[in-house]
Amino acid sequence: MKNSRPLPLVEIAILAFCVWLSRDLLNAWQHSPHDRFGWLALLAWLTPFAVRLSRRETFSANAFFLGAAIVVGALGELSEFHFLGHAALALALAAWLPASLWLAVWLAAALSWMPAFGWGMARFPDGVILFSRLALALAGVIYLWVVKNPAAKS
Amino acid sequence: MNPQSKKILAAGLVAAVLLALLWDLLPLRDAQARVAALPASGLGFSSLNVPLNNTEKSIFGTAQVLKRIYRVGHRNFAVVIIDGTRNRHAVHDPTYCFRGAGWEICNERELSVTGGAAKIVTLQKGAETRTAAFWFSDGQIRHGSVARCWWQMACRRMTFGAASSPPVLVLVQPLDAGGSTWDKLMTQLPFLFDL
Repeated sequence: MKNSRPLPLVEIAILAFCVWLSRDLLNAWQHSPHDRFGWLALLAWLTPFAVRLSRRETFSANAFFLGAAIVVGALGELSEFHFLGHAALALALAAWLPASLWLAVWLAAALSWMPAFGWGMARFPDGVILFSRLALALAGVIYLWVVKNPAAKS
Repeated sequence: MNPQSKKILAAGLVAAVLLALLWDLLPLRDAQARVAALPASGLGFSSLNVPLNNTEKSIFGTAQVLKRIYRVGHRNFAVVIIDGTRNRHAVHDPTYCFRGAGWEICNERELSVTGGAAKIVTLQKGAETRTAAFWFSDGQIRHGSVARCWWQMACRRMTFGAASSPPVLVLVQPLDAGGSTWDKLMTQLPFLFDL
């Protein structure tokens, strides 16, 4: 069946802008020992987003989160704080999920895939850092998707 | 999302992209004049420039990095100076790299230098013990805090370079085992501590 719904171009463009702001993540995951396999945490953290996409529901992005993503991302670019670029990406992804208080918990768990997490835990062995990353990402997913949103399981 | 919100977001996005592009086009004064003024040889010391390997090139990107080995008496010191004006993210916390390379930091202390303090770290890997010194310098103020350096660089970027001179990271590591008398090194290679 032909889908006549127009693509949400502005929302996708904002997401693409935030992905571009976070392009340093590849370098960090490749070269920084504390950030290696950080992409695994990102994949785990993205589960609710992927599930929602796979359902092909009618959904639109939250304007407030997208606006916040633009502001935070621009500030990160101007000040050269990559952490703000990563936060902008997390906000731009969160914009696609239904806004709720529980979403804030999932959003906070985005720290799990950011290099800032590795920097903060640099005193610990790499294995502990990776385990903590995955635990935090999964905790955010479980909290959002299973504990506080039982409907999402069905 | 209503059409009005879409229009506002689209305008915001265009403004952010333009601002980001413009910001990249505005060059900041770098620290190369200060770095280039470092003597390669002199009374009691000589040096050899070391090219960066491929991994280092990938990590430092467009940042300007000087890697040089100074020989003072019978001892060799690796000196790395990173000017992050063109790539702020190349200026990092050296302890992060030491830990990443398998070293354990068993002691940290400060060494008083002109305009502030350098950080001296004692590293241990198995039975091997090394020391290293590092500091961030804008030519006047010297300190061992990477967070402070990042803040300096962000302020500098936001003010088009007016906030301060370009900060550099200076890292000095003896290449051979054994204790380092940093106070003595300060008299042998004083220009490093004035950078």
